[in-house]
Amino acid sequence: MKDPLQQQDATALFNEISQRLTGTPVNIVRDIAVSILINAIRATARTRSDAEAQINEVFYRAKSILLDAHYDSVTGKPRGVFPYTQVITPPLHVEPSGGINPK
Amino acid sequence: MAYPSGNALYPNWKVTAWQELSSFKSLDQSGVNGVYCCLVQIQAPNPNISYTYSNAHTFYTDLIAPNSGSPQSAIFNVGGSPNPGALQQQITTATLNIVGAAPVFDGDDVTFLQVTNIFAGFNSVGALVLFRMNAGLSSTWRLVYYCDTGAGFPVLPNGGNVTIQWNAGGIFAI
Repeated sequence: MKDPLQQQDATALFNEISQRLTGTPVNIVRDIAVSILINAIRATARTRSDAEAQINEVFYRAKSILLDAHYDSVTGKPRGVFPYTQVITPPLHVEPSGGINPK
Repeated sequence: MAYPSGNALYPNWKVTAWQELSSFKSLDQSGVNGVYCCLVQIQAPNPNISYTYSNAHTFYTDLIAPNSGSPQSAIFNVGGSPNPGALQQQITTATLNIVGAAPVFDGDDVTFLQVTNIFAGFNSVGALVLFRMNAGLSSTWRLVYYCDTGAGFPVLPNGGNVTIQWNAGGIFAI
């Protein structure tokens, strides 16, 4: 799937906002995102029905991206969609003495 | 120090320290004779494409999955398919230190680039294995260390990089 933010430097702006929100409680981040969405629609929709149509479209797309792309439909578990670095941090392994292998 | 329950040095590598004739066992070499790391799939929904640790395993070619009667490698490569040797990263700046009374092996962090899971069912990095490579056949590359316990496991490849960040104290101690 193509990253929907790969347009007009949207990724850079998204990363900037994400960094600014690092450490902010999730519910506040969600409220901020919804408020931005409401303001964006309010600024462009001239009537109530226009606003309703826009927010329906946005949430329809959001739901599709969230459920279809970010979660596996069979296992129900999250899956990677857009490439990002993952880190494994193994502990220092101290081989047990006495010759008995832990396996 | 606590013992990680799932991590282990391969016994057949440990015993080479006692054997005059065992070749390609040292961990202080570089280049093609260096210590390398690979990512393997374990505990997949389909056990036929998963590697299972065994104390009896000795060489790189033991890193296989049964695959319904036709064994295949359980190692990830850049495309996620089981192509031996395609996705292995050297542990550079390998060092052997004595900490207290224990020999400790350490080295630089390693990064696997653009790990994907396009091969059917090959979808989860559950372990990593260190092995001592040489210029010969992969059937002579000695398995050294198996690690399936640590923060970040399992990794579900997404096309991005996978970085192994070793503990500040080292990779393993005997």
